[in-house]
Amino acid sequence: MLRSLVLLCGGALFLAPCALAQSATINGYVADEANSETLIQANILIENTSRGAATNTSGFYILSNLESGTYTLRVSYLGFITARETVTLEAGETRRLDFDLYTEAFETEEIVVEADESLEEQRAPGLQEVPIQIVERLPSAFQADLFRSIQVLPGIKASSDFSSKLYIRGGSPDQTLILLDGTTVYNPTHFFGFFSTFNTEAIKDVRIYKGAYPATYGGRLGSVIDIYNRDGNRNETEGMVQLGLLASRAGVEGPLSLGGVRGSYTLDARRSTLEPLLAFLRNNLDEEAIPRRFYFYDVNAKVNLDLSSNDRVSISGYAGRDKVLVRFADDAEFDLDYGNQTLSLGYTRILSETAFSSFRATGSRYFSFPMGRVAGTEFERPNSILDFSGRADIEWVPSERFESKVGLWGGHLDLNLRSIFDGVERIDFSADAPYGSGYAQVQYRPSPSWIFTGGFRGDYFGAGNFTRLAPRLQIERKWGEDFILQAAAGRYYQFLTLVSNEAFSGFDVWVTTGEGVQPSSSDQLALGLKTRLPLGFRFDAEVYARTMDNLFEIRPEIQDVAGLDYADLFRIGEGYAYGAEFLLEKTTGTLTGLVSYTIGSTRRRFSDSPGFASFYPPKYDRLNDVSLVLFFSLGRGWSTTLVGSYATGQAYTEPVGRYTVEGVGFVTGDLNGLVSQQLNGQRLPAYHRIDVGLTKRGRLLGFADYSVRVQAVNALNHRNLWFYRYDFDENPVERSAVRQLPILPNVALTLRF
Amino acid sequence: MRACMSRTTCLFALVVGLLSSCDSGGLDDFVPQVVLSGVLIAGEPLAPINLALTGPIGAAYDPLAQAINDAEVTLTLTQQDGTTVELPYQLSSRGDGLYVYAELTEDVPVIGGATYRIEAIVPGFPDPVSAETIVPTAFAVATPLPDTVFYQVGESPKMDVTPSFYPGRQNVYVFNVRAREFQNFEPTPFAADLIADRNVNPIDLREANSPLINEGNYDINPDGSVRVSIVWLAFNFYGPQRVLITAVDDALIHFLESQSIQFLPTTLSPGEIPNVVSNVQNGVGVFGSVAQVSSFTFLDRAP
Repeated sequence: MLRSLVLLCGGALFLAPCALAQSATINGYVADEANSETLIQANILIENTSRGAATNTSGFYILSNLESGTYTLRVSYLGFITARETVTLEAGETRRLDFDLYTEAFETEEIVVEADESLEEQRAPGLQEVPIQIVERLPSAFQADLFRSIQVLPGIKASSDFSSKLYIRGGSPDQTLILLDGTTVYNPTHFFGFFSTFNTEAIKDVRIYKGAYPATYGGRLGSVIDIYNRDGNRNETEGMVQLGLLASRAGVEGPLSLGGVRGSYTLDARRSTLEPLLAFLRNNLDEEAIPRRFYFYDVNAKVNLDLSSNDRVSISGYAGRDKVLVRFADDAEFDLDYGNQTLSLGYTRILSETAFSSFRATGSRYFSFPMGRVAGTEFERPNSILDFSGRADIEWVPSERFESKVGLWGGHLDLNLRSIFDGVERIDFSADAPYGSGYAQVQYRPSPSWIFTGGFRGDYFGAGNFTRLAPRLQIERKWGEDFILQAAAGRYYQFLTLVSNEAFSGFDVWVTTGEGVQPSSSDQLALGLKTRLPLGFRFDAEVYARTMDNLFEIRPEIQDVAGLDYADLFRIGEGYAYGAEFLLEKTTGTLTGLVSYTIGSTRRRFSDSPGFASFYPPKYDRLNDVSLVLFFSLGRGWSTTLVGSYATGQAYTEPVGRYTVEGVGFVTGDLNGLVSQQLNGQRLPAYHRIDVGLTKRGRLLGFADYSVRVQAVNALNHRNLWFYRYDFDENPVERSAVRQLPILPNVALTLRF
Repeated sequence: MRACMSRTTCLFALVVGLLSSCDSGGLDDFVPQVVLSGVLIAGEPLAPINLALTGPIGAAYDPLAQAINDAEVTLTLTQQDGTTVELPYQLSSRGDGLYVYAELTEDVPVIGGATYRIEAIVPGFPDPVSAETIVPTAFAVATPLPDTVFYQVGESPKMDVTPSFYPGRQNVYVFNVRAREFQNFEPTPFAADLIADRNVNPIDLREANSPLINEGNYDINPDGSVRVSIVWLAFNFYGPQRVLITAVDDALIHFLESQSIQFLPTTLSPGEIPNVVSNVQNGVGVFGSVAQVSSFTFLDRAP
């Protein structure tokens, strides 16, 4: 498999220059004029023809196999003024045409968007682009939160207000591949899962494949979130400071020149500022469980250099960390230190007029070091992942009918988990797994209306020595520029699974396939339509169905793993999910926003796990999900945001009976049991929440742009139910409700200079 | 156009309706079940068996009111030394749901390694309630705990035990530490904090027991004995202590593991409560067996 991919790469490079000897080509980068930041998925159309292209993840486009003549190119991107340029091409000519697009007044004094994006920009089935400006404007408890923001999109859910982990199209959080500048991030959370780890100030672009994703990605059963950090302003130095109630952040970016090589840099950092609140609580509440120390921080940095007009290199890094120390009784304390670090070295090269290549070396580290000491008994469970990889991708666009991508990705995964109790090492799991994958994807357009995209992806995973081949297929039918029907299908494999608690991500542990533990697999099918309607409206609809086979999970009841065979740690299950998603967006005018609706269902079962042997809905399963997001510009720099959410109540188990087991003398206390007829057979009351925000923007004393945001999450203070707890100290057993977030106000001042 | 809209609306309503119907599921109805419980101890006399009914979750639970006293209960030794046998013992109710061996004139010890079957025919329940257990083989203390240990001085106290045996797997233990004198109790600092600041009743701290612990955690001595340690966390009071080590059978492992996650859900979602795994056919509870050893020590303050 790998050999054939190498041959295909080589063939593409060899063929590219000669295939187009007599035809003309236009290629180049599309960037934001304000800062020269490249734009991903910008749309380039040749007017009065059916020819077009979209920029790739490096902001580069190729229009090849053009006859000599005069053409007018139209370049568009959401929030930017559409650009037009007329060029005359000679036979055999290759014209480099870079575009700098001027922004609309999107993030300035008036939030009025005039330019709509074309359907081409969101062409792939299941692909959702997330404008980061919208993320910044949604109300949040701490700071703008990418993962919480994208939960307003159809098909993307959270398990509770307390967790930012994503459940996409019926999949658990570990079924989503999360990439930051091409580097896998293993625990993208701060505050033990309360919000996601990505600083939106540092992000340029987010692409979410909710399912049936193409062959260019792999390694997860369900979906992909591909995040690209900003390159930095290539024109001028600018800075940003944001002061919030519970966290603050700062950033600086600007042009760079090293030995005549031009480029840019960006540096963004943020840190929690919880210390005054914790000190106040400690002084005023007689509660030892209030942390003695608790903070988190993260830093994003990126440097880009244009080595030549055809060669660009970048290096980016991320480091984030959470630390907490709780002294919850005399002679008892708990200390947790967890975080992520990533490093990515990227190089892109325009190989020829029709071929573009990118190479990336990445490193990712996740660590979690919980330690505790209770009554002289110490315990710790150090856990880390080291993932080093290298990848190469080549795109070749020899004609308007044919386009191909090939790539190789190889790396080494080192997982370590130890458990030390009372000075004795009880567990030492380490998985040393080389891995590799390769893909080949071909896009064929027999006519301007039809697009067929097919590909194969081969994966090898060293832990257990598994090799898998996965086909992917997408078919699109266009009617004009405003109506597209799409279908996508594929097979997906996953070699890792996450051991996690839904309410607390600080102990997250990844485990791999191994002897007796096969990879999980999933078959997916998605059918969708994308339409552009009058008055700036867009409407998308998609139905999906997917299977989940060979799901391997750590047995939840297991109390001690010492001395067990690896396969004995797991239960093996299966599942399925299906549903329909609808998204109505208004992207232009003074009133913008979206309405999303998802109707879906997911079920799982674990035949080898008593109590889970029949199909049951996981807690996060919800039949209906509705979100409403409205942005309204009030003029004079004022704008408001309203977010409303409604969802069917989550699944839970309603015990109907109870009992007490007598005669087990070696266990203290009563052994009580609950009896239910069906696992997760009932539904909590429906979930609903309204978040509001008010923003004032302006110029401060002539030296900085400012924005003041006043926001309230759960503005109506509706305490949604999380779960029920049962207290056997009371007779009859007392059921008490554990509720989700109350109203959370937030104020933030941002200065840009 | 209107007809088309109408068809679309109908189709949408149909899909919603179908999905909704899949998602309904009204409140479960309570149906009483028989709770059978009892634990045989290798080398000890045959243990009594409890029979009761489950109660509805919303009603007060009175063990005496739930007791079953009119069942026909038989304990049968079905396998010994790898040989199938049929040695039944009749049990009769004491009046509080506890069934004892009234017909036996002398104690009959439980045989390690043997298989026992319990069967109860309960009026009003069509199928007999039954369960089986394989008894772990008896084991012994090879090296007892020191006579006196000083709290948190050096390593936690250790003792050696001869190995028990259970077919097909390593031994699994539960440790129980009990303060033997409780008149003028002196709590350890951690226990004192729980009592003073968290209003924990001292009597609830008198005994502490471990979760299930696999033998794979411990070193095996050259003579085959197992060196186990008793963590300081298990001691809540100074003074004389009894340490009880219990090797448990499969039925108890499954029962204790699954009972625990009803209240401490580990990786399960909050509110996701699976039923307890029981070896009792046509009922709930557990009929298990264990082998036990004890050792004694005195916990003193650090000099």
